Amino acid sequence: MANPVHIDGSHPPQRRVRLSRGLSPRNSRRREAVQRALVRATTFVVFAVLWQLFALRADSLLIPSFTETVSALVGLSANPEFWKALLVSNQALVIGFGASVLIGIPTGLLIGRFRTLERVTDPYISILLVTPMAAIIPLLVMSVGIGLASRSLLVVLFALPMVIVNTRAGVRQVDDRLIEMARSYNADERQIWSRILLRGAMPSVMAGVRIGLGRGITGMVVVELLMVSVGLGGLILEYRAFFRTADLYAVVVAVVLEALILVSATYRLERRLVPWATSETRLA
Amino acid sequence: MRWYKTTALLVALLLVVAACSSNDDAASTTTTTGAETTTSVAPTEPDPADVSFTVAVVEPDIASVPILAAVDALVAAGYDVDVVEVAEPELAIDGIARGEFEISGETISAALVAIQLGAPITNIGDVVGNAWTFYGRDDVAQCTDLDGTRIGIFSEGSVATAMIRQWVAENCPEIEADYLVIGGSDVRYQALVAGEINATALDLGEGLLLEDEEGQYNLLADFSKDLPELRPSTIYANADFVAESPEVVQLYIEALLEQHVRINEDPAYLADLAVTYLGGDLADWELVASAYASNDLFWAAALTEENLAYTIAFFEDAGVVEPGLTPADIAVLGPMRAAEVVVVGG
Repeated sequence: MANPVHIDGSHPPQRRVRLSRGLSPRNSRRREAVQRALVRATTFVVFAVLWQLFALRADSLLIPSFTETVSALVGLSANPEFWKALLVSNQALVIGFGASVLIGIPTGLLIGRFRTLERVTDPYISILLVTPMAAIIPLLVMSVGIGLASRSLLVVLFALPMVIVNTRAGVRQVDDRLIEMARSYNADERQIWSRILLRGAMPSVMAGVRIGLGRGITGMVVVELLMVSVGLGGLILEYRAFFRTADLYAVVVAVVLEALILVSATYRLERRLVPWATSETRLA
Repeated sequence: MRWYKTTALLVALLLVVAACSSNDDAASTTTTTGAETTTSVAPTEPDPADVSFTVAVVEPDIASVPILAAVDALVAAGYDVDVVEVAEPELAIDGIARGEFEISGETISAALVAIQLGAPITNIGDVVGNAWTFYGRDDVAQCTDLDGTRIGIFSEGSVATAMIRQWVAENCPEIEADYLVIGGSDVRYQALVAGEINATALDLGEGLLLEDEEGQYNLLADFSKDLPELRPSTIYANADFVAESPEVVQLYIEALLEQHVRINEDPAYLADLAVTYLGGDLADWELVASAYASNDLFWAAALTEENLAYTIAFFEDAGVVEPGLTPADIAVLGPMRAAEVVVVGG
């Protein structure tokens, strides 16, 4: 390739061009995966070392070191009490998050499609988004009690607004011209929904599900810290009362790991349901 | 490949630094101070210019109101005393251990656990006596009625929980009840009123409020009468601060004792303090203040080797602490005794 020349006759600075090494697509993907794994591993090691240094420096009753936490996490995994607590906590998560998805997605779709409905519901969704949930807990106790129902309801209050808002946004961002085009081809409302709106909104719906799941997990633990201390929240408070901070942090790490696994599962589900959107994201 | 080498070098460097730090700090653990129970204390008040300390208060309530008044009196006298409010006793304990605060006071069980872990903390006085009660709903009139019911507790390690468990073990050991941990006292109160739990521990003030509620509630146990030797709420301080500045500790206890003398002479004074520092209706506080004063619950110099030994044994039996603690391990009483002599005479 000849060196380019500006119109004024000057030469632009030369860039070093990396030539293809002739790697096959398969080897190229493998190499990228190794690079990604290496970056993640390095980041984790740096984080672990910084945590260790900070804990040793702080010398605090409330901050265990990284190694103490890892040791406690290993011990926790062999503790039946932990698995029982995990099961109890996840009962509220499954019921609450499941209800949030079953209620939130249809609600978000309808609100996104019909402006009148949006105007009616918008203030209540905004209230749910901004209200501090800790203030609602005494009301929950008085009205629903302190059992699984109230814990599940609080998970719903945490997760539902996110599912609705993102689903609504997904419907709203579908190009109106596509709907006009469909109508021009005599598509009925059902066809508009199935061929255009649902497919177009699905990436945002899945994003809402993912964010709602994260919020739901937060709600699952918060209600156990502030209302009735069962499950993982109960373990956290018990360990805190006895200054078993390594065990406390191990429970928190376990919650984070659970959240990562579940969010990863939603990504896989999204790739199955919306393969065109995820491949576009990759190309971008 | 250059960035790989750079990254590997950075990680190796961090690991070396971490190893060096861990070698240097491996022995840097908080150490137990062998606290003495007697201390010779200077009789003269310290110079205000030489006094500066911070008091951590955990969720101010009727029991900690005299502390706030004592601090204000010290400030008015020219001493540099700050008050910091923290949400949980564990935060106060950690702050004391690290020297961020010099003095605090709340549940003794958290302090005992921390002392046993090697934290440099020691008890120097009493916040309030045993003001706990155990109430049941109308269907729970005696211990055996608790069988198959739900009892609300603050936490597994709390003083009130230990008292309830001991009371049940002594009066109806055969029953089986579900102990539900409900952290917030207001949530626990609401749960009792709503019938979600059948019994719970309440302090004197909450008990009086409950008796005003609709429906019948039964006082199952009054721990201020059943366990008067137990010291559930004490003043604790950083052990190094106590060793270096016993005269300041004495000054603080004197200020608190002066408040307690006034409260015991006139309970209405406590009600006034409660309105000043906590807000609310004076008439409501007068009822609560009268109950506290009539039970002789306020005396900062109430700690003795005997009641501390009793308290330690109580928490050992409850499984909150491991056996082995002694009063000398957990308290320095010299400044407290000297303060009592100054305030009320020898």
